[in-house]
Amino acid sequence: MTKSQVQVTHYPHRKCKFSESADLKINDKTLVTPTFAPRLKSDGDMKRYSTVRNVYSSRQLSAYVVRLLDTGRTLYPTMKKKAVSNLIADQTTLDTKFAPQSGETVLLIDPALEYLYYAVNMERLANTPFVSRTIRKYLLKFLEKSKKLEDERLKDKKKHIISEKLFRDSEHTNFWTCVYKDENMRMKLIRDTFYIELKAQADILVPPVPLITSPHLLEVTIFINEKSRALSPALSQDKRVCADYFIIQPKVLRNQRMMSTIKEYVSNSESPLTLFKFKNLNLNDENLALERSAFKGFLMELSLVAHHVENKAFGLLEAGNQTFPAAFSSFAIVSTGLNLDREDRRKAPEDISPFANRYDPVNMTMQNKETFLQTVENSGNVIPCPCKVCTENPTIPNDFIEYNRRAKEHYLLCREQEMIEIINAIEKQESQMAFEKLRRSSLKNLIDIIPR
Amino acid sequence: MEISVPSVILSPKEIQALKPVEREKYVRSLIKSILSMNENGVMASEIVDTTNLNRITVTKHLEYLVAIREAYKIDRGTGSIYFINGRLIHPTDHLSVPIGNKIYDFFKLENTEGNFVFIQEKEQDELRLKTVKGGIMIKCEDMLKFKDGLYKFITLASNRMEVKT
Repeated sequence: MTKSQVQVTHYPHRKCKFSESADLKINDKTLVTPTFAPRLKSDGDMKRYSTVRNVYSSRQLSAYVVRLLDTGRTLYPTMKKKAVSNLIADQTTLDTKFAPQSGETVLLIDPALEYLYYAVNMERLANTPFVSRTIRKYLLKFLEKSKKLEDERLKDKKKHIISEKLFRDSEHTNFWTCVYKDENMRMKLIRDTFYIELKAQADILVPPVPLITSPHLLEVTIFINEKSRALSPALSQDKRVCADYFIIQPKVLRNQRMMSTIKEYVSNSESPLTLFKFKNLNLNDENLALERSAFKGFLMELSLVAHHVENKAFGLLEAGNQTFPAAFSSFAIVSTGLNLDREDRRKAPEDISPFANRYDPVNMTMQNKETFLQTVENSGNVIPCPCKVCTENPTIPNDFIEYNRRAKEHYLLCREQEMIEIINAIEKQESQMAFEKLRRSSLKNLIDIIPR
Repeated sequence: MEISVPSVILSPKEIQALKPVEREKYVRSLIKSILSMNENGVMASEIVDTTNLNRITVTKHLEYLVAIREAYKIDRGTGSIYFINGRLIHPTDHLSVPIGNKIYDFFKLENTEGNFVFIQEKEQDELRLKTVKGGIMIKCEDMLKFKDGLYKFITLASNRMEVKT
C-alpha cells in the first residue's frame, strides 16, 4: 500500500547521449531535472530565494539546500512568521502546519559534517543546538586539545610536537572509527540528525557521514549510509526516503580503487537518490588534469546508472564551477551556495568588501564589483545580462544591501537559465551546446569533463 | 525455503541502542517490509530465524499488524501464516481524506481472498509524521451494503450526533 516517495520518470524524447531531463517526484512534488538548488545560509537568503520563486515563477529552482548548522537562522525565522500569521488568521493555538517550504519546493538538509575536519565553521558547529550532542562533545574536546597543542608549540618551538594536520587527521579518523564500532554512538548520531531534519521538514533524509579522506572513511561512509537507510522507516513513518551521501576530498578522485568502490555501491544501492559533495573542487584548475579525467569517468558511470537503473537520481552539492557540466551530464539536482563571497573568505575581515561578487553568465565565473563596473562601462553603460532582474533594474545601486540583493537574485535567475538551456538542448538533441557554451566561457578546461 | 528480507537489517545491539518507542517502530516496519517482500506469506518462526529477533516480539508485532488490518493470517495446523494485506490494484485506487489531525486513507486492494476496500486511520504527530491507528477491510461486493448501513446509522443517531454536512 505504500509506494516509494521518490520516483524518476524517464521520457525517450528527453534524452540525448549522456544527458537527460527526467521528472523527479519527491513526496508528491515534481521537479523537472536538472534543477538548481541554491544552498541558503540565512533568513536573508531565504527571502531572496522566495522572492525569485514567487515573482519569476522559477520552475528550475524547485529545490533548496540548508546545512544542518544553518537551520536555526535560515528556516526557523520563516517558520515563526508563518506560525504567527496562522495564529492571527484562525485564532487557534500554534499547530504543526507551518512549513518553511511550500508547494513544489523540495528541501534538503545537509548535515555538513566535513566541518569536523575543516577548521572553518568548527566553532559554530560545536556550539549550535542543531547538531547531535555526539558531534558537539567531540568538537569541544577537539578544540580544547587543539588549543593545548598550539600553546605547547608556542612555548617550546624545538620540542617535537605532532603537526596540526596529523593531529586533525588522527582525531577525525578516531572519532569516525568510534562511530563505526560503537552501536550506541552510531545510532544516537543517526537518530539525532534525522530528528533535526524531520523537525525542519526536510523532504529527504540525508545521513551524517564523514569527509572521505581514506579508504577506511569510505568504508565508514558506506556503513553509515546503509544503517541510516535501515533506521529511517522507524523514525519517519511516512517513509521519507533516506538518500546515500558521499562527501569526498578532491584527492580521492585520483584513487581508482576508492572511486570504483563508490561507483559499485551507487549502482547496487537501494536508495533512489545519491548525493555527492566534492569539497573545494575546482576542475578548471590547470593542474587537475588527472582529476578531470577521473571526474569524466565518474559522470559517465553515473549517467549510465541513471539511465538504466530504475528509480535512480543523483545530486551534486557545492558543485562550484562544475555546476553546469554536472547538470548537463547526469545530475538531477545541482547546488552551490548563495553567499557569493567565496574569494573573500580567505581575506582579513577589514579587507572584505561589503559588495558581493556577481555571477557573469558569459564567463560562468564570479566577478567583483570593480570588474563588473568595468564590464558595464565596456558594454556602453548597459548591464550585459538578459535576466529579468538586470533588465528591470538597469542602474547599478551604490547601496551595498540593494547591490547584494540584486546580485543574489541575478545569480538564481542565471543558474535557472542555464538549466533551461540544458533542457532545451536535450529536447532538440543538441549535444554540442555544452561544449560551445563552455568554450565561450572562462571554464574552458571543463570541456574535458563532459562525457561524449 | 528461505524468506526474503531487506538487504540491511540493524543488529540486535543496534536495536538495543534505540529508545523503546523507536525500537517498536523499527521492528514493526521491518516486519512489515518482510511481509511485503514475501507475498506467499511468512511464519513467525521464519522471521525469527532470519532476523534474530525475539519470538515473542515478532508474534506481538505480527498480531498488531493483523489487528490494524495491515496484514492478515491463515491458521495452518499448529502455526499461522501471515500475509501483507493485499496490494493496490491500480496506483490511482487511493484517496486520502484529512479530517482534523486524522487522515483516512482509502485503498482498493487485492489479495487471495478477493478485492477489498481498505480504510485506514492515520494520525499526524508534531513532526508531521503519520502513524497508523487502525483500519477496516470491506469486500468490494459488500461496499454498497456497507454504505447503506452507514447512512442508516447516521440517520438513526443523527439527533444524538453532531454531523457536519
